[in-house]
Amino acid sequence: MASGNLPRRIVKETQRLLSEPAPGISASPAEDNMRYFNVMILGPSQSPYEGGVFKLELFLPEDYPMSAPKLGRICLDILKDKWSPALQIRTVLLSIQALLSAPNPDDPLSDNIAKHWKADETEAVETAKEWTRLYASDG
Amino acid sequence: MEDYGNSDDEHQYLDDDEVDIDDNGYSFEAPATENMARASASSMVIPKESLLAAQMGDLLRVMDLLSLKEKHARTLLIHYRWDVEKVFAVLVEEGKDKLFAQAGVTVVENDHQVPLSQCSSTFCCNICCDDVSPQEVTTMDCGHCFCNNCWTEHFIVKINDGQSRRIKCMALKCNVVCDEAKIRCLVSARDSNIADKFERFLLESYIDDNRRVKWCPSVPHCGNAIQVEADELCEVECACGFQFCFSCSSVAHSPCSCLMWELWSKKFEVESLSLNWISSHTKPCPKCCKPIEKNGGCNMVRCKCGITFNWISGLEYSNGYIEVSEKRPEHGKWRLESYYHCHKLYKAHTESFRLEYEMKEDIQDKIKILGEKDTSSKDFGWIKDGLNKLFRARRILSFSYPFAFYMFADDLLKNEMTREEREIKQNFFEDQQQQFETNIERLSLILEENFEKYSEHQLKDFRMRVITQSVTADYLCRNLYEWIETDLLGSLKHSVHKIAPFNSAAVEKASKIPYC
Repeated sequence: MASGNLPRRIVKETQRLLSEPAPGISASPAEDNMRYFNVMILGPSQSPYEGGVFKLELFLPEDYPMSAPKLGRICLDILKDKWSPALQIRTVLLSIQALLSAPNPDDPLSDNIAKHWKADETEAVETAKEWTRLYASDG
Repeated sequence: MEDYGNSDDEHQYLDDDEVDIDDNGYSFEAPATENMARASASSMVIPKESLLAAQMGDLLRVMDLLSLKEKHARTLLIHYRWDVEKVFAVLVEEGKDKLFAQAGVTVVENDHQVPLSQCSSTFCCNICCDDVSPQEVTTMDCGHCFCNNCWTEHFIVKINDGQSRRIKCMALKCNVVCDEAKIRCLVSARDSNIADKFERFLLESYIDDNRRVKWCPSVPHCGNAIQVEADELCEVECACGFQFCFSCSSVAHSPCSCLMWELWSKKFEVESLSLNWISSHTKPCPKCCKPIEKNGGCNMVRCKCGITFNWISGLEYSNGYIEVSEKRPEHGKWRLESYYHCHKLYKAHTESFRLEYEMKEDIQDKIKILGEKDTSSKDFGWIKDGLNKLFRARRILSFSYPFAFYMFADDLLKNEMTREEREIKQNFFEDQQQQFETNIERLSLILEENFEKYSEHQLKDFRMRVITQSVTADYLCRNLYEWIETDLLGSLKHSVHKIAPFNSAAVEKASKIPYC
């Protein structure tokens, strides 16, 4: 793990992510690029995603922490206009975990799924469970 | 309005101010009856070099009333979109603390930096996790302290992101807007270009964040901005001569609503090329109005709709003979159903407007010749007045075609009227429009006369004709306009199409801002 010219802030955050990981979250930097993290979030218990393992890729841009980490398409205010340099990788990942416990159908990535969720939550939860089993479980 | 500094009773002041607003409102709507009534000054031109002065005017009002520093006043006004009245209203209704908190303003009496720089140990910045000396940190008004390097980078990211006006503190959930003096100081030490950018954004916020000020949309840009007094729904003329709708920033388009005009100009752009071809290569069928291209054969043309007509005369055949048809689209009452028709007439009247506008210089020359003659009266204001009325009437007439298209022919307002209602209104509209058009052409013809050669007697007669005809045209113009405004657009139930109120003083000419 060569840290090279990595800012102290990133080094410290990485160290802490590895030494005291948040429950249900693992994040480790790629060997060749310390700004690139492989993330795994466990589906929260008592949510339809329980038992699933959700893989994410996280990238710290050049001007991190002035700009938010890049995380693919996730509708989360702190990744957009509510980003503050005082937030950390850990806080971002915890927010995503919380989003799995309490999905926000008012700000969806997929309109169809949000409509389904609002129209028939029980059925939507069943679909989510089914998809978690099919696509987010090991083996 | 000047004595508010002495008065502790803010409520009293606000009451006075509200009376002022009402006054303005009335003066704006009151019909200016004669001539170019520009005295109302409900709009002002702000040349680029006066932007700072204009901004300062509003800043000073807020600084005086709340005993604030300039930076705080600016943050407050940016948050409230430069609406000084709104700031005062929030102050009275919700109090100073809420007013400041909503805008992210924190006023501190003592500077936090003193105790920090006194402590000798190093300071660990929570953002970069580096240890820095206490001299290299900055504390914002909210009390949050980070190292200068982090602050600077934060500012640069925000400025480059176009967010100069409300750069918030870096601390989590802190709503306080950073002190512009500190931003300026830190950023200019790193990059003077970005510091300039910051200044420019702050200055231009007076236009970009201000409901009552807009850049003149002229191309190439004249550099001016226009400030209006109260109503956003108005049409103004910049000092550069460009007339535009203050609400949508496109060319003045009443009696079309902004939406109608937007739809029309898009359609116009796309279709005018093909329409040019259609108008030069086809003729409309006298019955169904569909364009027909004749690529050979004799002049007896049979349209798909079933009628047969003579290509040259446009007249309908009946049992092999030409029957004189009462309505031919080209000369008869025009048909609103056809976009082609509205398009053609809109273009024709816009062109007439251009030509008449060119006549202006000609007329000024003629007036000059008259002035040198030995005539009893040297006042030729009535000619100019007639010409101005002609310009306005012609402009409204041109835009009444796209209006009619969306009002009666297009599906835009389909659900607003039954077919019968639509037909009745359309007939009445066409009637008024035609009468209006005839009188505009008459006025135009009169003004084209070579009146500089007239004898005193002829000139008197000419004067009478100009005045009578311009009053008639203006009267019909107002009638048509107000009928559109109140009866046609005003009665819409499901959609909102508003137009600037009729003001017989033509598009309002913005007056020069007083302090420049």
